[in-house]
Amino acid sequence: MIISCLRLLNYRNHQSNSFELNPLGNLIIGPNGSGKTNLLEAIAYCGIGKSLRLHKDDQITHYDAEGWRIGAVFSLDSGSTMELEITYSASGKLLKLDGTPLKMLSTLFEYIKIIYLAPEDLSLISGSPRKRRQFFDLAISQLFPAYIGVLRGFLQVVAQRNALLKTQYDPQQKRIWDSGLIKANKEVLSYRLHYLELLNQQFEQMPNIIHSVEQNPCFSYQAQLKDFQDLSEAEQLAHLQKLEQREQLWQRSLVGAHLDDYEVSLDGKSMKDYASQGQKRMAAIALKLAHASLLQNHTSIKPILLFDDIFAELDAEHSRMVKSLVNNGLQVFVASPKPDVAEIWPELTQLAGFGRGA
Amino acid sequence: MLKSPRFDELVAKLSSLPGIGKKTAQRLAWHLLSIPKEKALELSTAIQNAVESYTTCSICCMLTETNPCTLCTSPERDDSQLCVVESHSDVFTLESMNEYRGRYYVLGHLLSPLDGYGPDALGIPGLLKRIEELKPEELILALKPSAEGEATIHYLTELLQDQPLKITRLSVGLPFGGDLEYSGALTLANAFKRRFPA
Ligand SMILES: [Zn+2]
Repeated sequence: MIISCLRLLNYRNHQSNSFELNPLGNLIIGPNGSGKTNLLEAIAYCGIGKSLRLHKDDQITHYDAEGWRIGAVFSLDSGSTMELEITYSASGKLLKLDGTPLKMLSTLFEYIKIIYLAPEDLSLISGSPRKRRQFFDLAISQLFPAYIGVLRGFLQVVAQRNALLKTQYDPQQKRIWDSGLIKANKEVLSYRLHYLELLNQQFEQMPNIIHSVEQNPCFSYQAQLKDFQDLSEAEQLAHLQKLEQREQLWQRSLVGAHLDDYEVSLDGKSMKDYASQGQKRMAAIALKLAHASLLQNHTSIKPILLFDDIFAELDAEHSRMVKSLVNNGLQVFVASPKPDVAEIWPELTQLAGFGRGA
Repeated sequence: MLKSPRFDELVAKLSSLPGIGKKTAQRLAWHLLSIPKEKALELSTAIQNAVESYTTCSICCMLTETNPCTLCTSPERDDSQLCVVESHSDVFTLESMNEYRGRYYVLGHLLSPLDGYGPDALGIPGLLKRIEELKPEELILALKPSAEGEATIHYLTELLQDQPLKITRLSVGLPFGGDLEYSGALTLANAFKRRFPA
């Protein structure tokens, strides 16, 4: 898919801007603070219905405007066009697809696939488990939009069970929420494990992204309680019973998908502990590009790629390698404060309005 | 003096209604105060009349003007089916489908520790009594497939497992109302047509 036109109204520092976009993509070159990231954030917003950088909707509003609007026109791979309008005002947020208000977030995820890459992706390899869960939950939702409802249901069970643990409950109530947790957890895990399987296959097919090692990184699931998912339902229930005192003390659910992690290993060793910064950086970029290929292969939609200041930290060789991992025909946006990034992406046209003082 | 404690009280009462935020409540309050007095008072009279004449049915807990309600007393309804719903509005929804001909029971709440609702908040004694009197063949748990709905279904199924009842539930999947918070997509009416054993 391609985004051909973007209009921003009171979206962060874009008071009223309209952009005609190149089907191959655009370079966005300008100093920090010129609105490059805000532009990419607005494009990314179209794919997930919220700010990827975790800005609250009211924080997005330009100075003291009443609200903001994103209008985007997409050309689908089938040739037809699709218009998305997102408005935020005091009365709330409204998403319209071709003029019709969206009822399901999963509908947005079904049609629009956008992947955002930024230097902070390094935390996918070396950061906290929460960062990895956030990435994988979003990635799985892009590949399987039904996962959004599954995950939301699971998190609601956890919230309810945590509320119960704070009270003087009767044992039967506990059992009901225990079995609710087990059921919802199982559903979440089936999606996560399936996604990992596809991802690892994708990595195996990719060229070697890290020079000094034999294989590409490999991802595995790390249940917070080892092998919890392999127990029978009765065994899982028994385990939750055993945890009861600790859970009462902590007043929250101490086992489940909301605490699980993903391990990234290189030649059998944990990348978090053993890899160099450069290796981690390449692995994080490759992870997102492997996800892009997965989306393209399994949904037949070509995702849009947003590279936010990625290339400043890569040498020319690595920059070219990253470029070589981008599938042909994908629309690519590259934002950078340095104009020399154009040497790697000569086919992209530079978007006006981001120069010094803009 | 633009605003007064009385104005603030009106806004507070209006914004306590579901789906009405503070801004809307303020707009409504200004509107009520700017229209002719008798027009505004018609609203308060209508509220008073309705509130005073409605009560909950002593059999099914549905809102009604007659006690017991017509859904419970009508000889046209099928005694072999009893449908358990969360709220009064669910009964309206299912009745507007014009397909279901059985009886109802309104729980009032779903199990939700976050809201402080345990089994006591659900009208369980009334439900057990209703089942005992009606002796239906099928008990339909028409509850939304959310975390709370699932827990309530689980609880009721366990509670009633020794009764000679066929207990059915609605198709699982997305919660009614879709996965965005502000809209309705998959409806109770849709899901009601697809039932399976609980
Ligand atoms: Zn009744």
